[in-house]
Amino acid sequence: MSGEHIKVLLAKKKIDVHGRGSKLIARELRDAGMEVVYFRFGVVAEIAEAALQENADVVAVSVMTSGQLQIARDLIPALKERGMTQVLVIMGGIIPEVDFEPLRALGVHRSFPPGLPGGVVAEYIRENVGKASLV
Amino acid sequence: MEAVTVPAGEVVAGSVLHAGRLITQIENGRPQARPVLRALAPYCGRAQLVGVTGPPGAGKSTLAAALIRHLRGQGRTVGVIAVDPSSPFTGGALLGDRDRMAEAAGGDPGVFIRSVASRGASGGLAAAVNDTVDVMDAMGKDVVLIETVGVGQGEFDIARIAHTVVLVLVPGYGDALQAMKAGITEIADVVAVNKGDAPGADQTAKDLAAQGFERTGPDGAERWKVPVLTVSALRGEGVAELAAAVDEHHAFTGATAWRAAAERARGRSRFTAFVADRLRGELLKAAEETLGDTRPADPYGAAEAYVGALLNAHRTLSADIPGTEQK
Repeated sequence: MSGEHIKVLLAKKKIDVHGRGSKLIARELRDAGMEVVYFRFGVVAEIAEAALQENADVVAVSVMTSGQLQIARDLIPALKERGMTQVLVIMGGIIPEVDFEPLRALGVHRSFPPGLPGGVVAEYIRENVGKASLV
Repeated sequence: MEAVTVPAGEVVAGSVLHAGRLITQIENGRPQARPVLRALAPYCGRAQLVGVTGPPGAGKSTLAAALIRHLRGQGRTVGVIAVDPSSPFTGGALLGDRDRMAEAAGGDPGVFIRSVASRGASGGLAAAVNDTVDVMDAMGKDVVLIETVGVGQGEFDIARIAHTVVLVLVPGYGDALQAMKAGITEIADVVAVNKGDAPGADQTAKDLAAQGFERTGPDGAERWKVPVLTVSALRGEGVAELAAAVDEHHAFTGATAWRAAAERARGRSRFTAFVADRLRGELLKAAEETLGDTRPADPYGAAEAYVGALLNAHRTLSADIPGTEQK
């Protein structure tokens, strides 16, 4: 086997029919040499369970139709409960910037607005993976 | 990314957290995984191993999802190893099989799905998948599904790990000659013509069935007629019949010399893989160090002499390989 790769669980709400943003990010991360598990979730517990099974280094949640605060409120404890205390959690999509700070307070390490130049998310992940902890 | 030794007891007790970490160490070829795998060995050998292979887009993941649902309905726990290709250019991978199966799993603790990137190395991948099978086996999964893209020799090596290989084809895949030249007729134990709801499915199934594919047992005595079934994974049609055919094949090979021969072959190939892995990593490195800055005038001759000396050393070392069972 050759080398080690950052494993990202990229979760998108099943109800978000527009997948262009999440697919764009999936491709960007793949092209940055990461292994991206792409899947659509119904309930937040599915993200935590998938992160556990995949032993993901990063959990990335793509949100378009809002609900980000509730997702974070459910997701962070669900990850901690399962012992995933070292995982890096990021969010992106149509999230108003006023939510960034509340999301951080809930345990989301970083949120990204849409329209960023390519490579920003991958670079953030590369710099912060393995250093994060869920508090 | 840390590599602490995973407690084997936790894996046997079914801890997904520890099993998940151990599989990552296996994928990364970490030596920490070796003693854990040895500790798990006594708990292995109970799971039924089913390979699902076929060309891209045949609906392997969707069919696997349908199988998961069926097996769960029978009260059997399931482990899934879903292999997707890595990019040969960036090393990255987009692993999409879980998405198709998530619905069937949906937080069910009886299902453990692991997505695996092929990482380009065929031999190494087969070894990693073998070890991952052991992890799920030791966790007590009743059935382990191994899903791979059925192209290339390396993929076939992975499919051979399974007790039963399901080859998934679709209408319009091509005529029987196409199937024969791909070599897949030699590996399939059960053929599923998926997308049975699409036009031409019955004709494709009929064409394939008319070939009368047969597998011959290790001693040439028992023959297995490869059943060709039409299924629609999407609609869930024919899935119960497919699962029954897989179980029938499993029972058949278990009752004959097939299974024992297959298990012996698997044991041998794992031994070879382990040895190759360590020789490549450690012996070759040592040889290079000995070589140092010197430049052999005749690299080919030097290599020949070196390997000859190694083989001689092996012969004088011992007549038997320690730790193997005598015939």
